[in-house]
Amino acid sequence: MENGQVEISTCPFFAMSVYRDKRKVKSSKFKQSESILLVLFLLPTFFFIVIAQFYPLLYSVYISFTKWSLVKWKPIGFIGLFNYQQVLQDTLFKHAAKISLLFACIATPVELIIGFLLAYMVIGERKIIRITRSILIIPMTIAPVAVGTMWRMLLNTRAGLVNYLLQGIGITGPNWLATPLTAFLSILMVDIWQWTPFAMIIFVAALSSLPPDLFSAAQIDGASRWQILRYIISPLIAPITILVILFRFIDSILVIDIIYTTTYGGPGFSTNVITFHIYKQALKYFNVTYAAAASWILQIFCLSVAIVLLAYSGKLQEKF
Amino acid sequence: MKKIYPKEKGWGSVFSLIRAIVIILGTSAVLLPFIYLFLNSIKPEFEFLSIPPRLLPSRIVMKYYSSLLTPESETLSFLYNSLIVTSATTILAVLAGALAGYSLSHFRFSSKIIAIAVFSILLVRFYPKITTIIPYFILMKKFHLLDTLVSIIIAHVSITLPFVVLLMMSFFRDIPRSVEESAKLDGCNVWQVFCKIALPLSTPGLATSAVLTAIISWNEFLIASSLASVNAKTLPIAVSAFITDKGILWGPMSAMTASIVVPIVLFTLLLQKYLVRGLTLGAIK
Amino acid sequence: MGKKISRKLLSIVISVVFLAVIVMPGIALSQQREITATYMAAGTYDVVAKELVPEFERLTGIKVKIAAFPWAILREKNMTDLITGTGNYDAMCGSYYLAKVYELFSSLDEYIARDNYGTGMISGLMEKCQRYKRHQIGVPYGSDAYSLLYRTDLLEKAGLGIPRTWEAIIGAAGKMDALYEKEGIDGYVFSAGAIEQLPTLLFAKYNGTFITADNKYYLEPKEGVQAIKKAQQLFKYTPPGVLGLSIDEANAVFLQGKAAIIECWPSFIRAAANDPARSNIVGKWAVLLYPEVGFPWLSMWEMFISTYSKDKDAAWEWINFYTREKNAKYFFTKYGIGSVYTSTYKDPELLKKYGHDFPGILANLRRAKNPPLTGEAQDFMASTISQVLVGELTPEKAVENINVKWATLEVPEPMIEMAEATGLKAKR
Repeated sequence: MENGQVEISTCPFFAMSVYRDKRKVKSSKFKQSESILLVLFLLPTFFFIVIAQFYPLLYSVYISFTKWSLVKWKPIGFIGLFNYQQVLQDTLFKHAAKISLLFACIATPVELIIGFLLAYMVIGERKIIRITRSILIIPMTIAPVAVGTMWRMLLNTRAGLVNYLLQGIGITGPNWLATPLTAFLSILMVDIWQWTPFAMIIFVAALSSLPPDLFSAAQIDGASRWQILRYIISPLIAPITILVILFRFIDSILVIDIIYTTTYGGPGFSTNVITFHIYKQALKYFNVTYAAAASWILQIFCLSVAIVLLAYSGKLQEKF
Repeated sequence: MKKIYPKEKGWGSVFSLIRAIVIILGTSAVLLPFIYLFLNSIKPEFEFLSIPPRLLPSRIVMKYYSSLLTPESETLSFLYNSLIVTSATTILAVLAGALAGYSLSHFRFSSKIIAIAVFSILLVRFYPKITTIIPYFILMKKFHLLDTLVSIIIAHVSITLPFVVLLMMSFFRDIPRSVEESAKLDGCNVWQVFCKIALPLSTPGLATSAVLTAIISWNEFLIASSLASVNAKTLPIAVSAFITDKGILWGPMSAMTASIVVPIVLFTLLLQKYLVRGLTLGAIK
Repeated sequence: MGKKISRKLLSIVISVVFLAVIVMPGIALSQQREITATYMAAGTYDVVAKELVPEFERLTGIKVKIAAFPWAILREKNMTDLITGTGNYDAMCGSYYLAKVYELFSSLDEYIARDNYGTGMISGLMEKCQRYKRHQIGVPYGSDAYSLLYRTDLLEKAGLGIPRTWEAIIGAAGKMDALYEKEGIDGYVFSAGAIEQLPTLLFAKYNGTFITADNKYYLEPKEGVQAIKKAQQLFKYTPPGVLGLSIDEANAVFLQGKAAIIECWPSFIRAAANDPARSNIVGKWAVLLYPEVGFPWLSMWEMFISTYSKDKDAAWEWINFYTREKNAKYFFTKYGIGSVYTSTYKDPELLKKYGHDFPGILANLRRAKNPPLTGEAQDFMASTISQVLVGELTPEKAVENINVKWATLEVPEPMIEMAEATGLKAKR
């Protein structure tokens, strides 16, 4: 690493920004035969991704343009964008999209802020700090299905721990999973509980990788903690922050396990997020063409968001 | 030890106080649900839903755990399956990913091709896996791999590979050219450079990939449930089995959830230092 | 150098063994007849199926693999196996929600005729089984009908006679709710938090049809609105938090004596309600017959044979064995599975224990029907009713929304046939 240069881009996790890396691609003097070997290195990955991902993806694109017979399992005819049209006109789809967007737009900043605060607090190598860090990571390692069922028990109006504790401080807890607003808050809570550690661990990594010389210099200049935070740390971790936003935003749009085990889309349609809606269409009602078209609409949306955010993150990095 | 906290008079103790409060709140928020889960798993049958609610069990009942150990519950075979799937996925994903990462970090690609590679990896990462289940099912049917662990392993590797490739790609980039050049001057070919120089120097990256891959594979539910019938069931499927059309069987489910949670938590606690180290090593030289 | 080779060799051997261990289960070794049957993993149907496998194998030499799945996954697995023509499952458990793919089930008519199947079953049940183009494709093994259960002591103390109309039931619930308020007893309880259960609130109050003469899903507005309104009235007397109650939670409320009337699946509650160790209401409850409006919701598990099965005869042998009359009493006593045979309900031993509710249960079963709705239609109605209960919609708007959505849905042929057979399709 070059002297004095802060290279957050080398922070391995954020290799996503690699394509923006202005450093020259390694021009190693590998011979022709070695180049062939390097291509062979790519084969296993190629094999896995093509077979298990690309083939099904293309298959589902194919289905999305047809009228499909469930019983014969083959297309009856090609109907172009009709399925897409149908999906976009479906009020349930639009409603589900709204819920998902609302969910993602609330969950992401909350996780970001709390995650950063926690990260700021748990940097260091002292034993207690390390143990705390280990404990705080736990939620994101548990199966979402298990998290969902656990929280369903926690949020039980009478027998659940949450209301029990609230009562302990004199508040009568609401019927969490029984009213639209509180059900929505519940799934937010569960998502935040499970994934804030993700934001935290990334920020811990980012903060830990900042060179100490910067701070010594700032301290000598008499900067306060708050000033350091605002003028030095924030700009430096901005690119990573964007990436955390990207991952959490899209992953919270794709959330499904939690919904499935806690509210099952209800009450009413208040927690009927888009992925859950697609799940029901695909694997409960077996409206395969609808599901395929809806998935691709969702995919296009997520990709656009990803590209925009990645570009922005890359731009921020260029400043350094 | 990174000192990003400047020494300030007066503020130091306030900060420590805030830090202590945050730590206590944070760890409670994480640990309390598990404690509650554990308490639920040892309660006698009708005490979950008693009116008024009881937090502590009136007596300790171990039957839910012991029923997990009986051959009928098949929990041990689920555990066995999960272990095989997760280990195989981790080994394969890390190996294949390291190879691909090395290749991509050395090839003289134009940034356009790298953009395509990144793009296709994004494509795979951000797609709702639901609609790919049936085509994948059909594919596995053609290869007579339904209800086998192999089909689940292949699927799991394919969803974890993208991340591993990107991570390792970045680690390999950070290896100074000089080290590799001198190895080649000593007569090593590409494979030897890879094995003897690149891999050892990027162990934190390998460890991080392994941990994150293992977590994803161990917890994965949708794909595993669609492929398994009798022989290939994994633990997450077992948890969802307690959500019946009649309601939830709280006791067995608590015990099962507690049992699933413990191994992965232990695993993470043991290896958590790699998560941070692996993520930061790129900058610490 | 030698060390390197032997190390490489070792790693190859290990990998081969590793792969073999994983792939081995996939290799079929046996020559004997073997079938796979799917069941719901509920600790009842699947457990008793596994219990019966050894005896069956002894009698017929056919090996049976039981594939048990949680509720939602069972449906997914059955459907996927059928539509992809996989044929891994020979005998499948399911119900009317598989209507889209009835074409892919084998007709059981010949087997039924050959083995004189169905003798001793509750009258009318075989007729309610699933059919494709008039061929019977499913045979029943577990039946239950939504029922109202009530507290005999509370009703008597309130000086009320047994209510026979919905207005009377609502009135009784209201009176008891007010009368026993101090004791914390509510008039009515229902698992409104289990959204998939909500349609029952309409079925037993709705005297109309579900399919129009030109084969479209349609809920008659006037009937639909009054049915939903009645449900709303009943919900005035429910415990707080009723909208979050799951089935076992609602049952617990009744079992602990905190509700005067419950609308539930009796098979889930019956055993506990007669057991002093598990409830406070032993001897104090009875079945309240539904008024003669609409129909009680029938839950009938049926077994089907996949058209892709490689050994349909073996599949039928198993089905015949599993569902035979001899097993019914054992299924019932040990696992609470609702029997489809009248003999169970006449058995002296059982009558002693359950006598007081058998007549009511049977009466409800006889009137019970499967609605001719697809999963999507039913779910949408359920969620919309949920919206009414939560206060988001009026009953009128709810029925309107339902009909707008239902108009976009395809009605499978078998559902049309079923509706015609059960009087749930409009004549003009």
